[in-house]
Amino acid sequence: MRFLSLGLVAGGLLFAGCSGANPSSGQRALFRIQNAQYIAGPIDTSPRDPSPAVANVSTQNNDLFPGVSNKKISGSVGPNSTAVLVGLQGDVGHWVVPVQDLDQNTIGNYTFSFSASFSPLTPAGDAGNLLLVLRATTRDGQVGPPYSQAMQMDQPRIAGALVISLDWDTEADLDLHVQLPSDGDAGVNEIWSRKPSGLPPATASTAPTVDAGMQAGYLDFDSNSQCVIDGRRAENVIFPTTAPNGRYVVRVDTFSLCGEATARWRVRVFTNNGADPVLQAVGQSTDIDTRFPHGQGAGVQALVFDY
Amino acid sequence: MGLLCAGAPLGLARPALGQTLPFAQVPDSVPAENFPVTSDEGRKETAELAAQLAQQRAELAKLRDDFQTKLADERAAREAAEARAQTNARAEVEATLKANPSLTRSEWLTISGFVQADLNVSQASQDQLNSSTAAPLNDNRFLLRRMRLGAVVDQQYFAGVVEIDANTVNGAQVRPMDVEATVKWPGGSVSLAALTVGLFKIPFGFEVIERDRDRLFTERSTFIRAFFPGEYDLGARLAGGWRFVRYALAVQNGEPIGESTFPVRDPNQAKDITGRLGIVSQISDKVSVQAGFSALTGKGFHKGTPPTKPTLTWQDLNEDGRYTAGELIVSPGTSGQPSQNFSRYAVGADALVSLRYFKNAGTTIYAEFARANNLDRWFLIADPYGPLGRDLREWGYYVAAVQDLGRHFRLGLRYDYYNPDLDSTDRQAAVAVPSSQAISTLSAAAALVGSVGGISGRFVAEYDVVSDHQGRDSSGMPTDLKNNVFTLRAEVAF
Repeated sequence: MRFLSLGLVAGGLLFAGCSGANPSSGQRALFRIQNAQYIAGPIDTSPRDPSPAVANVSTQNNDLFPGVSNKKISGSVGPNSTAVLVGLQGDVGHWVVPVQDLDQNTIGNYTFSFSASFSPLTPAGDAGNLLLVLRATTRDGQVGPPYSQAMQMDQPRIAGALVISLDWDTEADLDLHVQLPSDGDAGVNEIWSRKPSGLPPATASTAPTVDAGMQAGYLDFDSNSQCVIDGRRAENVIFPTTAPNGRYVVRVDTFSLCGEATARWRVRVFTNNGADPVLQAVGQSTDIDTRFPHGQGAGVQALVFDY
Repeated sequence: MGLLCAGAPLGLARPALGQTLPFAQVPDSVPAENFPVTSDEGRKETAELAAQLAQQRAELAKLRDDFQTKLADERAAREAAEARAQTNARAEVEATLKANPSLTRSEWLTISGFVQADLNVSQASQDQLNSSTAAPLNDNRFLLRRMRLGAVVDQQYFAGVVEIDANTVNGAQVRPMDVEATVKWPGGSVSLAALTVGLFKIPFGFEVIERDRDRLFTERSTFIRAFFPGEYDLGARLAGGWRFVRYALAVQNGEPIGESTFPVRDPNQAKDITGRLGIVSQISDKVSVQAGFSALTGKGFHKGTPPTKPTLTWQDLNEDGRYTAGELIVSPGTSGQPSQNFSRYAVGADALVSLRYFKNAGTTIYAEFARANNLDRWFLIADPYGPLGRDLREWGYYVAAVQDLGRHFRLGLRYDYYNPDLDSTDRQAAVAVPSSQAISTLSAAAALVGSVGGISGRFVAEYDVVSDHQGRDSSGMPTDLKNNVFTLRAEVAF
């Protein structure tokens, strides 16, 4: 009898642990709302109760890019609403956003607003047709009809006749070095963070212009330079219209891991404004890669190609 | 005459003072032919006397032999008894030292320590990082909760404590924990007055003072941890007792070692004053009680802000990820905001009743409550100059029962409740309504206890059912968050 009592108590305690809201931060979801309640499982899109309804949804624009954050979404819901369920159709979870104020434009309605972010892993391009679903709820458990808001996740693309792109996965300071086809007696010409343009050295009679510099190929950004973390983790050498013909050598220099254990990197080559890379190489930087010189010609060779 | 002759040699041979011979050595008999013999009667008398002398000499020799024998026996018995006593005493000392190795050869020095290693399983655990602090959110892990190693010196008028703590709660950490220098006025079982300076526990209530190695439950109640994070603070304390009365009064920095912003630092000149007045009484062999009232008053610290430089910020107003004209925001520089102090206080009471039915069976029931203002330094950190712009009124209590089931088993149940903001509101359907941020925990603990050769060990299993209002249901109403915790603890102490 005593053991039975203990068992009942233990069972009761375990059962008590089965109720309650999900404590997950929802970071695995493609669509996220900070400081909102996360509910595991995709948002239900089947019809349930006729009210309350979502009256309208307002966004700045519905063209997105992967990783976009702080995206403002607001709207209005019908009478008796106490919250709005929000989620991306087919996502692993959705969110609860309480209503805020009385809608000054429609008597009886309530307003809601939140800042959302989208995971960098959100499908983009042709697969980037997204549907944001919102449903109003009431205190007594009614769930109104779904309201769908179409959104398009664009594939970020850097246009150019020739684009050599480096990106990596941790907050390390990696540098892209692109050695251009040999310029004969002028010697080796290399684009990297200390020499971000492919222009030959200026002379007294030929002062370079910005346009000329861009046409000669340029490095768009020195990401995480000196471990000042900017979060981009990507650098590109871009030739907007034309690029010199010949052999290109692409190197990846690990200037510093900035406290990270490793950095896995990827080098891709795009041509003629193409969305898909024509060449790709991957690698991993470790502490030993930081010990070599970091000047011109530094880094491990990632790709060699003829253009 | 014969007697004289017989006695004369005895008298001549009497030992000098200080000599230890109980029986004088009898000299050799005087030859009868040395005595003048004048007649037969005289010869006969002489012969008789000689015979008597010989007889007495024989008796004396026998007595001497008997005495020597008894003396030897007594000496042997005494030496054997002494050897037995020494053996027994040595065995007793060795047994005592074996039973309690913390007793060193110097009776005023005690070295002790303990280890508490936990396996934690939490419903709220997840394999992600906190997006603000980048701290891991996984709580399903092994951790070294406490490792203490300390030495205590305690003489009639002076005492000292040095203790260090190591743990892996937030990564590997070693820190001073209990460092005390005490001058005291001896009394009965406790000092009448003891003045302590150093790093010591804040003398408030029962659970703060209770030793970690004595507490059955793995952690203290929520409101105790919120009010006194880390329990230890730097300062001076006057404490003591007389008969059943106990008192303690401390002046401390007001930044306990577990506080998040300035642990064991002191950003303001004001000091926290804490005191407890209580009783301890053994009412009978089976019943003992203790109770007390505590109070604290002090000043907290609101951090000011440094001046800022003018900044130019890009704000992606149309959310297209590209710069568009009009999206540059100029933020002018601002002057700094000064830091400010704010008042805080707490009052509380605690009581404990311990019942012993048999030698190893008993029940201990204890409870404590505290009402405070702006004292939370861990859970919902109080700052009346912060975003809320008002005082935070706090209230907490717990009730606990611990049952000893023989020498090796203990069970415990504790319910604790903490409301960090009695004036909390929540905005529901566009209306601000009173709400609760209270958190309550029902803790059930079972322990397997053992002791071998002065080293004690425990296995404690505890399940905490945590009820709060930190989640939201699908209608947006506050609801309980799944954050129950199971802890399995292994502890060894010496």
